[in-house]
Amino acid sequence: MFACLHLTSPPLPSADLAALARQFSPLVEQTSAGTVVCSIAGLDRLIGTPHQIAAEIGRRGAAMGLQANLAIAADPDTAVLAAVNLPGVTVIPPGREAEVLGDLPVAALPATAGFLETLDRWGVATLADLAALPAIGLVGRLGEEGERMRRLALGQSNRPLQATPAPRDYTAGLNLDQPLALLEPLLFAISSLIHDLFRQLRRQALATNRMTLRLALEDRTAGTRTLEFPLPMHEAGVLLKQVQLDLEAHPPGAAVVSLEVRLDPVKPRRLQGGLFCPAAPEPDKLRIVLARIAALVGADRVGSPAILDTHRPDAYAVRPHALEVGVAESAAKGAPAQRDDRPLRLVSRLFRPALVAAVKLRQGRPAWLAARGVKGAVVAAAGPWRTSGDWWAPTAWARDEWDVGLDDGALYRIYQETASARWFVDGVYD
Amino acid sequence: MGEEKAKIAVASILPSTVLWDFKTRPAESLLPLPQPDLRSLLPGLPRGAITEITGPRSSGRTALVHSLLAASTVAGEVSAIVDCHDSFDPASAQGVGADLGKLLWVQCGGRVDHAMKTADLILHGGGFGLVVLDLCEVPAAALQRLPPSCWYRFQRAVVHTPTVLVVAGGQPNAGSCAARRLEMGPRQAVWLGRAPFQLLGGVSVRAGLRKPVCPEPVSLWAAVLGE
Repeated sequence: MFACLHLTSPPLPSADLAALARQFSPLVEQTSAGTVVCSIAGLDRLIGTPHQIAAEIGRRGAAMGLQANLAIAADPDTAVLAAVNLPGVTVIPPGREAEVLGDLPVAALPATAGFLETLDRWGVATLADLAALPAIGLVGRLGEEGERMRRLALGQSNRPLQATPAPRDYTAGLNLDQPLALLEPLLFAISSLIHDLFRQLRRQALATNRMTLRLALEDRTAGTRTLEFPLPMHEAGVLLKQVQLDLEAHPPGAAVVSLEVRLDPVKPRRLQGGLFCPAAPEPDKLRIVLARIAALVGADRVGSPAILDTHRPDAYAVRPHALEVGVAESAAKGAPAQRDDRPLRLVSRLFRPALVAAVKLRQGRPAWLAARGVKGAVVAAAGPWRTSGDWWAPTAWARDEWDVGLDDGALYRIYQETASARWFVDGVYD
Repeated sequence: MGEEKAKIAVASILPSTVLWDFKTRPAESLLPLPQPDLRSLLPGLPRGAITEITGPRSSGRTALVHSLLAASTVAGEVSAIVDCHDSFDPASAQGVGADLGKLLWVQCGGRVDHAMKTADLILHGGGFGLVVLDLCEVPAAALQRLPPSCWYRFQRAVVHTPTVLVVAGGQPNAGSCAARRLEMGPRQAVWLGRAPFQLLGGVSVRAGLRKPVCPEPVSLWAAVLGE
């Protein structure tokens, strides 16, 4: 048996209707924005007859403030037709579908305008008229759609429900008998929760891209750590390693008395690598490597470089997760570009921060240079080139740049700040 | 058992169509050098091995490293640069054609121990086409304090992998663990125009292969980026 709920008050969100249906059945199909149909098979043993089930659904719907038509039938499409077109509660006993639906106009069917026009020209006005037509003749004239509409009119569509899974909350918690002050036993407890949650995710063919760990501490405070990933993750071991590295970098301030793990479900990324794609790091291994390096050198010092859209010298950003995305994109692109010859270009190595320098001038041009690790007479110099920018911001700069060659053969780019008249060595051409 | 006896013993077991030559090795997989002039000296950098690029400042060692990064990333490989003294210039790398989205940059803040540990993590993670360990600005005294075992560890980490480990520095460090060593320099800067109206045009460098030793160095011209 199937029950269909059809909203009669449009402003109410359809999600409430689905929630009401899910109180009675896990198999719920959202046929339209204001209509849901669910299976009520087995409820006779829990609640009773179809009339008692309808009364219970009506009672809970009223408690939720819903105004809806309700129909119960042995066929899902019959229940939908009845709920949409018949007001109030309709319970259709098995075998009497055609009788109950017979008075409905053919316009109630989910048919095309051309189909309805044809029926109108034939003088077929109600579902009973349509059901009375011979099946072979109808199929011969109107094709498969004609037969489908005739079966709807008879209440015999007999299609399976296209149930949509209910949104699930992947949260697991644990109250500890003894407070845990050490990381290892805490990870042991977290591990069991993460593995359980990943098993649940795998059953639904899902992955996660965000984990939230809430810790209740012995000193009555709480701590929350959130790990986000640019690509969906489906390995519990990899996530556990990330949690370990994160907790090592940010240990809780006191012993832990209870913990809760929440995973945000997302669809997993499905990708087929090409035969001619160059090898790339495995995403899970790469995540762990990046997390370990970040724990060693700092999270802001590892990632892919990106040039900022400004003329300010040495303006760059480090994007921590860009590499993972880049690896996934390159795998999706397929065969790479061909290698080609390229000329050697003298590039710059930068001193960060720039080295404070002492410069002797001769006729307004650098003649001698000294800084930490840099010393010598200037044999050739090109410049000055004045650059400035960001005058409207605290990051304003204005400087005169020179390219200088020292007597030891090294080539440097130096500059003098316009405001302070101090000299710096910016980098070396190498 | 001598080599001939071993050949006869194996040939008696294997079908006669199988040719067996103990001296034949499989062809070495290489990361091709992007410069035709350099390829006359060394066709490419061997994968699964350590290559050292040494030279003084302004000798073009960083230019060569950047062109290798560009060649590797443009070919679709994921590359990494372990930057010991935070001296890598992303704008220069992009200027020579590197795909920064496929480049992992680790800044070690002058900590040589962090640089070595990071390189170790990257090599053991696997999957990278080119890993550059940039030790160019590290003082020689700090490098001499490094235990030689770390180079053996790197060698063991990259062997039988498609990864090329390039160690760039002012002096040779990896010793016998390096399969190739390119030495850049001496160099001669070329200035365009006459003082005081001069422009830096580039640098002329002589590159030599020191391991295996090649007696004939090649001359390279490295123009300033943007010229």
